[in-house]
Amino acid sequence: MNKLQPTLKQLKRFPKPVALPSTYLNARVIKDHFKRQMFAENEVTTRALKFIARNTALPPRARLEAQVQLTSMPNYTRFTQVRDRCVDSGRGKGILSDFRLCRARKGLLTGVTKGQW
Amino acid sequence: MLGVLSIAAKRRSPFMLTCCRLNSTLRPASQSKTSKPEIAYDPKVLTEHENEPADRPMPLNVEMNYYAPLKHKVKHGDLKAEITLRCYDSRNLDFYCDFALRAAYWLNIPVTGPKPLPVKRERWTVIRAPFVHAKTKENFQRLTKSRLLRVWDTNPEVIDVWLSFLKKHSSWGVGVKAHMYVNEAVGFGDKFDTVADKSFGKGAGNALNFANHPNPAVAERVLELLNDPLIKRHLGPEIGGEKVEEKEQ
Amino acid sequence: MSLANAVASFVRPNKKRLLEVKKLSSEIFNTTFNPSGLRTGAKILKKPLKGPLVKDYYGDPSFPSFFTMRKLWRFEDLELTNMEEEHRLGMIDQRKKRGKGAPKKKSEATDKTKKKK
Repeated sequence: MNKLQPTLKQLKRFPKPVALPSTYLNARVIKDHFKRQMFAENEVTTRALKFIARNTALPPRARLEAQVQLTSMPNYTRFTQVRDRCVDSGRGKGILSDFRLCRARKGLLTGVTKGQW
Repeated sequence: MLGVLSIAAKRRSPFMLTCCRLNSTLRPASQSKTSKPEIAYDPKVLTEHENEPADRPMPLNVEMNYYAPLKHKVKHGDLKAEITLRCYDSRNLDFYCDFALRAAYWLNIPVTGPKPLPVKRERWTVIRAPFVHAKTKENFQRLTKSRLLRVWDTNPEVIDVWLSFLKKHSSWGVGVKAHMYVNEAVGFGDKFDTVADKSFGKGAGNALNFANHPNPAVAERVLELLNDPLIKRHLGPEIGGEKVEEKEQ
Repeated sequence: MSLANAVASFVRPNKKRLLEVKKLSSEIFNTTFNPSGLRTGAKILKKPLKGPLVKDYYGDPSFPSFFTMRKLWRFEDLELTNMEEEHRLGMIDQRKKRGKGAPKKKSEATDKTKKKK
């Protein structure tokens, strides 16, 4: 079973190693996947810093310090950097977010039929 | 007809039924000669017409499948669980509801339902093709049908047994979601004296009251950061100071 | 019921007393008491974390790919076929037959012609 554990892969262009999924991969998908991993990893810290920065009951200096720490975090830890891409082809535009696909044909999606009303 | 049915079912105990089934699979009588007393094989049958193998009448529990599932009456009206079943195909869903109700009956669980819940309609409009026919659109939809089963007056352990049985014989494409309602003893809430109360004092200015929030990980990180010297030096004594030291003890 | 109690039950409670009741109830039920409507950033703290959902957008990395399955395959007389790869190779074969395949690598002769230019 040990072999089925995902292996962390250190890619040259990224500062941290990530485990790659076994779906369609291209440079842009890998980049987005990396950002998603980093966002998930740092979410608790970002949340905590944001809470301290927005809490008016705390002294302004402490809040400012938290805000500075928040802004000094690398860009790849922010959710705004994440973009939905097609899971099957890596396309970045025209994604049906319910299916994570840019084109849904052939009747392969369960329960989805031609609309009649 | 239904009245007769319910009387017949009441007379029969589950134990008798299992006996019927054992005999119907043509088990030789010599094998069952253990310390248990032998029970006379006399299965009761509702239908009048004869079955194909004349020596093997249809057992009652099999015959019951020809009729709507039986239900126990709700005695105390104590709601214990709500089971939502969801599926894109209503035939599959109804069949599975039927199965669940029958299983509940033989476990002596009073269940009401299936109550049909509103159909969830999801619709998408897509261009028909990427180039020439891009101006014409095509509509797709997905209808999610759901049913609600409500479980009353039952021990949660019995409900667990029932649910695990349903899980074992789960049906294709039917999702099951169970909400269990459990009563707790008085004083249960004492557990929730929070981290913030311990470190910053009871109700510390209420600004830092993290009581009952859903993200304990974030709250702990906040406390960590507030104890971090970079931020702690800016905190006045009324927020940080002495009270933080209490936590360290 | 005494007369004083009866009168008290008809007297309209003033704001101060109501606030006191609220404060008391918040202490009992361990909820927030914030009469001045101070911005405490509680909503940042309360929002559910979305990291776990965002992380696995392209699928769980621990889900084995075809290639990891082939590494773990122990039955020597039974072979695994990668249907997608087979399809790709088949398409390449077809294109070659129609004379639409990829161009051959430049041989030495063409190099010489280049040099002459």
